[in-house]
Amino acid sequence: MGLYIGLFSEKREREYSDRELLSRYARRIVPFKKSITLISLFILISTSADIIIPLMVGFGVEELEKPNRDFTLVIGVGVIYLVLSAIIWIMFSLRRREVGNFMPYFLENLRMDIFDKLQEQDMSFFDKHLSGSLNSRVSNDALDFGNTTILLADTMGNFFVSILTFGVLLWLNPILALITLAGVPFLFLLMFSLRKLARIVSRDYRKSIGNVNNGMVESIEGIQVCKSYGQEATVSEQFQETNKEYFRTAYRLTAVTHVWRSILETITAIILVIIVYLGGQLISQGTSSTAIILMFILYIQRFFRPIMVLATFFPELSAGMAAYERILDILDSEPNVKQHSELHDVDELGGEIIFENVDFSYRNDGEWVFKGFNLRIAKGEKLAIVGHTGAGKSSLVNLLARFYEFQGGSIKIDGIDIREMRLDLYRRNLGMVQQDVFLFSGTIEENIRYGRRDASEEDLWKAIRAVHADELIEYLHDGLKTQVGERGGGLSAGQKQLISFARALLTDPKILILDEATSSVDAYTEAIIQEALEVLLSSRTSIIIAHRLSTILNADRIIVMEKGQIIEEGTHESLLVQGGKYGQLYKQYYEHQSLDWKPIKLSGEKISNS
Amino acid sequence: MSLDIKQISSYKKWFLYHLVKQKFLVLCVLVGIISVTSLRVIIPIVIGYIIDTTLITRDLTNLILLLAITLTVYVSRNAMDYITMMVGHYLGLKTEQNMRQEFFDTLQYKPLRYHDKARIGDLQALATNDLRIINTMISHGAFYIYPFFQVIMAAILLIVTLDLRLAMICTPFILLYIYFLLQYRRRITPWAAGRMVTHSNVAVVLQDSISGAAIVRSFTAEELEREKFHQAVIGFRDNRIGETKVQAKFYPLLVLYLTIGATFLASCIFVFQDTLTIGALTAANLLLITLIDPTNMIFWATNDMMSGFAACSRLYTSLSLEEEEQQESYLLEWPDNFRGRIEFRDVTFAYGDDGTQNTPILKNFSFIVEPYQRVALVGPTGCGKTTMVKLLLRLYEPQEGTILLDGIDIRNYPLDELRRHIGYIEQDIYLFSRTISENIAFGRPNASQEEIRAMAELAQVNDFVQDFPEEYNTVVGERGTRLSGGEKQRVAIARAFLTDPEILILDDSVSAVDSKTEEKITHAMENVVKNRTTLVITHRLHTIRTSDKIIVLKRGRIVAEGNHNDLLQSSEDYRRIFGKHLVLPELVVRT
Ligand SMILES: Nc1ncnc2c1ncn2[C@@H]1O[C@H](COP(=O)(O)OP(=O)(O)OP(=O)(O)O)[C@@H](O)[C@H]1O
Ligand SMILES: Nc1ncnc2c1ncn2[C@@H]1O[C@H](COP(=O)(O)OP(=O)(O)OP(=O)(O)O)[C@@H](O)[C@H]1O
Ligand SMILES: [Mg+2]
Ligand SMILES: [Mg+2]
Repeated sequence: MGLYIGLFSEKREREYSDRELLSRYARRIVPFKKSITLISLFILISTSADIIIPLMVGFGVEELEKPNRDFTLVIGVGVIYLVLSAIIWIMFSLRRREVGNFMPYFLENLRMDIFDKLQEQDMSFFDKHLSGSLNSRVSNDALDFGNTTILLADTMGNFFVSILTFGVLLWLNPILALITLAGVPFLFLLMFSLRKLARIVSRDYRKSIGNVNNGMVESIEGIQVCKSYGQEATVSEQFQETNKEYFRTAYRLTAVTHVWRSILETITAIILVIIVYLGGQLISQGTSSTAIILMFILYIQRFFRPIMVLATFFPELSAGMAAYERILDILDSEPNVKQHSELHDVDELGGEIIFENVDFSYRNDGEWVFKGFNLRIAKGEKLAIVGHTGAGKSSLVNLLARFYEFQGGSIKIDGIDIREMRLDLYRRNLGMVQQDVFLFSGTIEENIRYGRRDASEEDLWKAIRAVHADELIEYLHDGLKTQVGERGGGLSAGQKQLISFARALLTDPKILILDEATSSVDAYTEAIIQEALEVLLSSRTSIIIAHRLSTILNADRIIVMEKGQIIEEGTHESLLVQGGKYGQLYKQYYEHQSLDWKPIKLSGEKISNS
Repeated sequence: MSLDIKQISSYKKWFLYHLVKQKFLVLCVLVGIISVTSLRVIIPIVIGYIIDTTLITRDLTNLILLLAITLTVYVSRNAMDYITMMVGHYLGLKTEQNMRQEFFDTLQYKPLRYHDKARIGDLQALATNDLRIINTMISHGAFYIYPFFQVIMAAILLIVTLDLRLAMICTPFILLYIYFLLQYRRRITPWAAGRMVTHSNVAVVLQDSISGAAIVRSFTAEELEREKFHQAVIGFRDNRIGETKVQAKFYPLLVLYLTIGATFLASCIFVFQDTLTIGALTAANLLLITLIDPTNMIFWATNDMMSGFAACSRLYTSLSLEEEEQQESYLLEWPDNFRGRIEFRDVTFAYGDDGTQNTPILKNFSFIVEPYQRVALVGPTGCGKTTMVKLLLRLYEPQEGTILLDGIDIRNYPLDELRRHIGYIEQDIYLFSRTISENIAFGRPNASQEEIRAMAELAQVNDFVQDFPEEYNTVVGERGTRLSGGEKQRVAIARAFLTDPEILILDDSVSAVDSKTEEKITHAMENVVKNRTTLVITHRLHTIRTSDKIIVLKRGRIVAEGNHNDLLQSSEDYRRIFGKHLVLPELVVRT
């Protein structure tokens, strides 16, 4: 089995009943009721014309069969036929236009709703869902579901039409009409029972489109790794599985969705034959005229056309609902990060941060990243966090930024619980440089301005100079207008970090978080940034995470983390005096890092930060 | 299965090439269409006959037989219809599958130059939406031919069995009908093509904002993203509206309905004159009514076809944009006595297409790394260190100069072998969203669990994996987001070790690892690195200092070369690497 399939198969949050799906579908449609009504009306008019036509034929034939035929009557019938034909066409055209007036808007609303819901989600949602599959829901599933909305409009019109036609049949010949009608419940029952099947095959199909998307994303984003290891063939082979699966599900879906038309047409034919036979008997008995039977034959086909549309409504809707289910999966997933109902509008935060007994686990599986974690960061403090990889440094930042919801305890800023602040206003006070740098495709300038698009040219350059990116920008051919490529792929790793650093500085945040902000930058540039930061950080609370200890020597306080716990804290000097974990780290670091490594002195003498 | 696009000069040929691959199925579909159409046209004739011979004459002797025939025709038509449809869809889906695989494979073998420009959302849309549309065109394409058959057959029948005069009346309408179709086709084309482009845009914008979800949130830029997305969605919407407007305007059924009406009027007159039977009148009427469905289909099929060709053209463009990496080589196999001497000779390289236009990233780059040496590449951010490695791996081709391994131009080595023998731990770690052990085994999918564990041990992966409930079966999430920065790097190191490369390149691969873990890894590496040429790109000074040779880069040029002590004396640029305040006299004292 291909790797793509098993692991990528998405779990459904919950099952939806037909009833719920339908009622929610109906709610989406409500704003377009005018269009739906109009479309139904157009269908009604055009099909009524369609119904009158055989009547005209019948009339005409009856008249023509008479020995003394009335010419004007015959011509009249012919002309009416012609006019009705024209009406049918106009109605079709109007209907098409009206479809254009609502389908695209319906789709627009649907997509915007999904998008808005995605925007509400926190990062744990994106940990669970692969981007390709999410993308498929918004692009492909929404599109296909949107297309089923026409069904509803068609159904209404056709429903009236079949009633009308049946009325005509009844009027023409009650016995034959009832016989015809006897077939209908059977049709509906059959189609109704097919709807489950339709849903199942359609579900599989939708999932496999999502998988194709995931396969694309994975392989293209990882192309460099794939090439460096010469594994193109293996990856292709794995995709072949996904592709085959797509073929299988798509073929099954087609087989199912096309079968009912054939079944329905066969049943119609059987009924038609029976009617002709009985009609023949009736004629020979003299209880019915040829013209009436003729009309009846013409009507049966007209009667069954809307009936067929109505009958296929169930399975086709059901297939469409498989797409809707996937959309509802997103629309109904509540973000874990929840703000309380009574929110404070925070304007400018001071920046005193208190973690109190915080419990946190990513997967909620009892594997705690933090258990009863306590930390107080004073206003304007420059706090450094060091520790082994995987100690939970980035996780701490993730909680502070409300990317994930914590399970217990509280985090307060200026005495207000962060869950009680309006999320957007709160986040505006935070500036972050994340460990994993992400740049949007666009120019360097667009990226730096991302948090504050209206920043003045002066501020922009101030931020750029602070991170010493001016040199690099001058070096690049198009300067600020250089396209960074998707995810910033057109820049070097260090350049990306500098840009994302400048981006965070430009927003002038009250609380600045630097998570390995200069890990890929050379020591010289880093040292220059360091100097600039002295000034920049003075007026704000800052949290600096770094493995390169040279960047944190000047911190007001250093905390050492291990497995989600703070095991040591103090200033650089006091920690060295303590000679614990930090002392060890520092020693190791300097053995690695420094040319002029000095034995750790116990005096308070400042150690040069080279 | 990747495509040799050079042999195919246009998207139409590309499409045909795929269709021809399935000639048998194509033939089946054609046969199916002809039989379905014939059966479809026969039905009204039979019914007309029944009316004329039995109902009107009131002679019921043959009725049952005739009805049995009718039913048989009906049933076989429906069966044939279904079968033809399924074969048509099989053909469409198979072609779709083949094209998709070809697309995927071709992308795999495209050079990175191509991928630098490609947008993931676009490629996703091409692999799903565009290919689905091509499928629709092929599987419904049958319906494009079949209405023509039917129109022609209907016309012939009208003339032969019914009445020439009725046929004459129909003729101008048929011409008008064709005119309408052609007009429709012309007008719908831009909209049909716009469908894919706008769909793609939606996917591109969305992909960007999903990938950057954390950044969007931390900068509270939700509004901005929403606006971007909304623009894309509106683009799609407006295209859709334009499309339906054209459809409403050129609805070809108009002509058909008029034809039906006019023929009926004329038939009435003929019957009145006793030159036409009532049965013939009914038959003519029914015959024309049977054209309603096909006309409907032709209407949709035209749309499908125009979009289908536009999709073909998009895919073809994407497939043919850059040539595939050159695969042929003089050396058929990897030499046994490979030692790992690397030489760059006058290499000049610039990113982008028209290489010479862009400023070169590497200029006249020359250096030699002797076998089994450990060489440190150092230099400020953006000076071209990573680029140099990419050239060595032939991820990009230099515009000038040559790169030699053991004195042989790297272009002479088989490409995949070359890459497999060079282990490269990249700077921006990419992990696949699979389990940890699958990620480690990426370079050698058939590695045993023991080997994987052993390498994991070396790279200190075991350290943290033990804490996970699912251990090595933990799925790491898209790009490895469920691991910490240092954990990702360690998995990548294990992945490189497992392939047991002859040349090892570490590109800043321990930047997110604390010094203690780094030391452990370095120790472990001592063994792995022995008897291998190693290139290390790093900002960590310990590693630099202890290297056999140091190459100092600056703005794409080598500014100094040598060992630590020499360089410290002679190179200002080298000293700069150690920080800002390093001045020579102080150093002399300390070293
Ligand atoms: N999104 C996630 N889902 C599940 N587990 C996670 C996720 N992110 C991190 N973890 C786990 O939580 C633990 C702490 O990770 P964190 O990223 O906070 O480490 P860190 O201290 O920042 O390490 P590093 O220095 O390597 O960046 C790790 O064991 C990691 O595997
Ligand atoms: N795919 C690309 N397309 C265009 N330009 C690129 C691309 N990749 C890198 N560059 C440019 O080439 C130059 C060298 O980049 P490279 O990645 O080699 O730097 P580096 O020495 O590895 O730097 P760092 O220490 O930051 O990793 C940079 O100016 C960068 O902007
Ligand atoms: Mg981290
Ligand atoms: Mg680099």
